[in-house]
Amino acid sequence: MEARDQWRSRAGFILSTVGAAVGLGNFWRFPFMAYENGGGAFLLPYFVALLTAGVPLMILEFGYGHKMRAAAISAFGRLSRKWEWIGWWQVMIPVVVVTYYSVIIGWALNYMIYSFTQAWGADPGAFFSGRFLGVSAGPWDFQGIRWHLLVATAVIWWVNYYYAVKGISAGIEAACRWMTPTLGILMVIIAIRGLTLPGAAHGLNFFLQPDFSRILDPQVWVAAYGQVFFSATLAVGVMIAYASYLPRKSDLVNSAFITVFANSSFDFLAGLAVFSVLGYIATTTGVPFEEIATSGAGVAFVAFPKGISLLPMPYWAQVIFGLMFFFALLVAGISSSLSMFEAFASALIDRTGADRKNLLRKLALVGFLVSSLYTTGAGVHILDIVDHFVSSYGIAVLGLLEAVVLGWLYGTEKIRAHVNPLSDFPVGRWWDVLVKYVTPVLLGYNILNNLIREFQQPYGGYPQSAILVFGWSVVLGMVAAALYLSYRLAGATVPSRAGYSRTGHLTKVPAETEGD
Amino acid sequence: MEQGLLPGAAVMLVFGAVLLYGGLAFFITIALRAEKRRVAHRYIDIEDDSEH
Repeated sequence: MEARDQWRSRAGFILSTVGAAVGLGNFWRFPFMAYENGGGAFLLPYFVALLTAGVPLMILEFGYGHKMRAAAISAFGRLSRKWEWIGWWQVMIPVVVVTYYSVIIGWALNYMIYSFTQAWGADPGAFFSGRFLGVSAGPWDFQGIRWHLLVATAVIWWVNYYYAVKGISAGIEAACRWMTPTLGILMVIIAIRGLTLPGAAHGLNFFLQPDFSRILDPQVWVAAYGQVFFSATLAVGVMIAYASYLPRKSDLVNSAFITVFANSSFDFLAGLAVFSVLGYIATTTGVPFEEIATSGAGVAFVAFPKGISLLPMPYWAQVIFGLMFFFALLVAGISSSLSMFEAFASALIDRTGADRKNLLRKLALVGFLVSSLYTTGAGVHILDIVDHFVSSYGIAVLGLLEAVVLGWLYGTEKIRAHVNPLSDFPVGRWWDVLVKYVTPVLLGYNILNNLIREFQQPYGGYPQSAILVFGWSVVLGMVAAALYLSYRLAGATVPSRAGYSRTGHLTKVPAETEGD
Repeated sequence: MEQGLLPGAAVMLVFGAVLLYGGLAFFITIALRAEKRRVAHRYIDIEDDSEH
């Protein structure tokens, strides 16, 4: 079997995990979560969630992936054959997500080109849903493929393939070593420009002015835990895969803290940038802030283009600002989509011993074909349904399962005993409590809460048939496929862990030390 | 009409920035110190090996 690649440096590993965690959602999810849930007061439950769910789960995934030295499928398979399906399900989530995520990154690529001429014109909203996306009447009204979206999506898939095929150190690490710092620098520049605009304070007041009466509202806490959990790319096999490529003597605990804090720092910075620009638009146009501030992709592709056109600076400077913003989106998206691609590929390679290049080529091709569905007029409706169901009932349920299976059945004590001697500082028993009790209870409540709402009112007002096909079928289909594949490969042995000798050469860990 | 930053929002801005960026800087400092220690240990190990 081919030797497993590994990260060249700790910095490269952290930049890659941060690159995976920081994605498009940081731009348009966190700021609106705060806005809708008590403004600045939301920061309190957010920090509590960060420390009691984000960091503990990140340590759990880093620790387990590193100990098992395998991506999710084999990592869960080594715990017990009957839990391997959890690994299969985990890695199916990123592969489903990357099919529509690459389409959204393609939007950013198109908008980068549009920045030169400000093609969105005087009404970016009408341009985005009309000329650009050609949004149809509903999820069953396909209206054919939008070719500019398809071409951009093909480019993104090619970039994913180009970096992933080079492997962990020469591909993903090399890419993230420039992508993540570039994204940070761009975000700082965009935030500074935004904060110095007239009316920025008006927008920031909506983002940060605390309404402490909301602190006792359970929904605010559910939102805070959901935000931290989804934003950090947990429970989808990415962090398990990434940690499995670390050399044996590697810090895990502090790297988990840095990854989670860096991701949240991006969240906060994006909030400052987005709300200051929205405040500027509201002040300049005289439109009430509430009408401008809509969460989701509209912020990036409607509100920001409007803001760019209104910036009090020469046209060429507006072009540069537009290029910077959409390039930041592009970079944030690609570093995340790469991690999703890798989570699935490395898990499959570890489990089946497949040839990396061949597998990635097929995956990219099939992925691109599936992506083409999202480039139709109905694409944005389908994307919305799939995303909602995958997040609410895929990722959240997997997070719950992971905390229960690894926390209770495998034992947090074993993972703690593995991570503590390697790390810059140890974790105490408090970590066991958070993983075994706090996380399952909060995620369980989150799932139950979503389920109740689902049955009260169909998501987004879409027809039940679309909810069934693009929502429930996708989630349940993944579970069925995971169970089938796990059963189908039951006869095949789970490859043993690859260990490292003192000289750094890859060796096999003796059989008697496995599965402890 | 242009509006200034409200006191509550200003406090939360400072609170968020200090906690997040301060926290991030704190953990990065620990990591850098630990890496420095590791490099020093490795250097001492090499020195010891060359003496024998």
